[in-house]
Amino acid sequence: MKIIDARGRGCPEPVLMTKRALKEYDSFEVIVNEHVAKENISRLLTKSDKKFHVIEENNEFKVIIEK
Amino acid sequence: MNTKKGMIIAGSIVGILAALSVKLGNPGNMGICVACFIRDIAGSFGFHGVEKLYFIRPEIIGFILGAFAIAKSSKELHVTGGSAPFVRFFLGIFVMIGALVFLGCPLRMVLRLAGGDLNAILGILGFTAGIILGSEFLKKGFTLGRTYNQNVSNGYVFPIFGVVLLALLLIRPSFIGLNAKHAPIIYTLFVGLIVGVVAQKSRLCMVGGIRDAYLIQDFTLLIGFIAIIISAFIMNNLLGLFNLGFVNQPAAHTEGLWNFLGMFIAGYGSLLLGGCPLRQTILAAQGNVDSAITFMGLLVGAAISHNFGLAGSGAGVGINGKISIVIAFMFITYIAITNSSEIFSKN
Repeated sequence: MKIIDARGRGCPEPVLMTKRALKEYDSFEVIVNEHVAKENISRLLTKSDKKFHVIEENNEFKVIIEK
Repeated sequence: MNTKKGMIIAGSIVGILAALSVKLGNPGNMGICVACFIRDIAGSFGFHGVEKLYFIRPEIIGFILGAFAIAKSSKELHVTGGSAPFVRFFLGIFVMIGALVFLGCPLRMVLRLAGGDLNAILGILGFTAGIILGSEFLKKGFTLGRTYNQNVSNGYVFPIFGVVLLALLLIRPSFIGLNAKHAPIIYTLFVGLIVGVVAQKSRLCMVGGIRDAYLIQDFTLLIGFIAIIISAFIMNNLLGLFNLGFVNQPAAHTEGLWNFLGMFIAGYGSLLLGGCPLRQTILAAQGNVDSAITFMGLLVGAAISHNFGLAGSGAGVGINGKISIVIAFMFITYIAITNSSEIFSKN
């Protein structure tokens, strides 16, 4: 699965990276390490009617977008 | 609280407390102004010579300590840095120069409008234009690069700076100037703490509001922006502080072009930084060392603004201030172009 590494990126870059990836891939994973980035990506995906789930491990968040 | 309802509550708290601050003694339409308050701190240290602008503003202390405490207790203290810190320092300087040509940070800009100061409309238009221009660079891949984790101890330096400010304010050593008009310290410290907590939880950001609406059609942050205007507008009317018009507004001038351009620079620079001066202060308190450097850039920018006669005043904007806006535009555009991957290839 395509992995988008958005760790350490300031606002709004993780959201823009996710938005770009949505155009290219049906399913992919975004890794972030800030709560705010996870929340903003979740909001974008909810608004875009995408199925996704979030896994938290070692203070990082994996947002997994499914087809 | 990063929801529409949370933003309405957050914005309303900020608007109500800000109006009350003016009633209790803060300068007109200056319930909260991150740029002005940082400028006053620079003055109190003797970094500039305008004596009536000397004060260690308790609001800033409150923002830092409130945001730090809530981030620490909710495990959001995340110590990172290393995303072009020197560039951020200079962007901080120029954002401050732009804000002081207008006379206010983005937050005071909306509070000025809520107080009836119609000059703020020009500021809001310029601010929006600056954010849209910066957003176009984001679309072209603009980034100052990623941050990396740092030792947790590094994240305590900025909150300790806040504690030192508080100590200086309470001890009042003779080398600290404290001449500016202000509401009672116990009240403004309380305002700072509450706004610090609310802004950390809600991610309230003036730049983010317009940016997200423009770039991703997400209006969450913009709702906070509007809630501040409406709540402060209502409070100003209840407290008899509302005064509609362009002339005779407190700490303001009527040069529309320079009100527009001052906030254009503030919006453009803040967009590249990823947030307005309030947001930078909150991020610095929760461990973002780059934002702490940006805060120091704002402090230095305030000193430069007043030492070189760049800042606006009731009389308007002088030639030095106008030249500084042109230089700011060239610098910010240079950073924007050279850090956009689709314009400048990385290798």
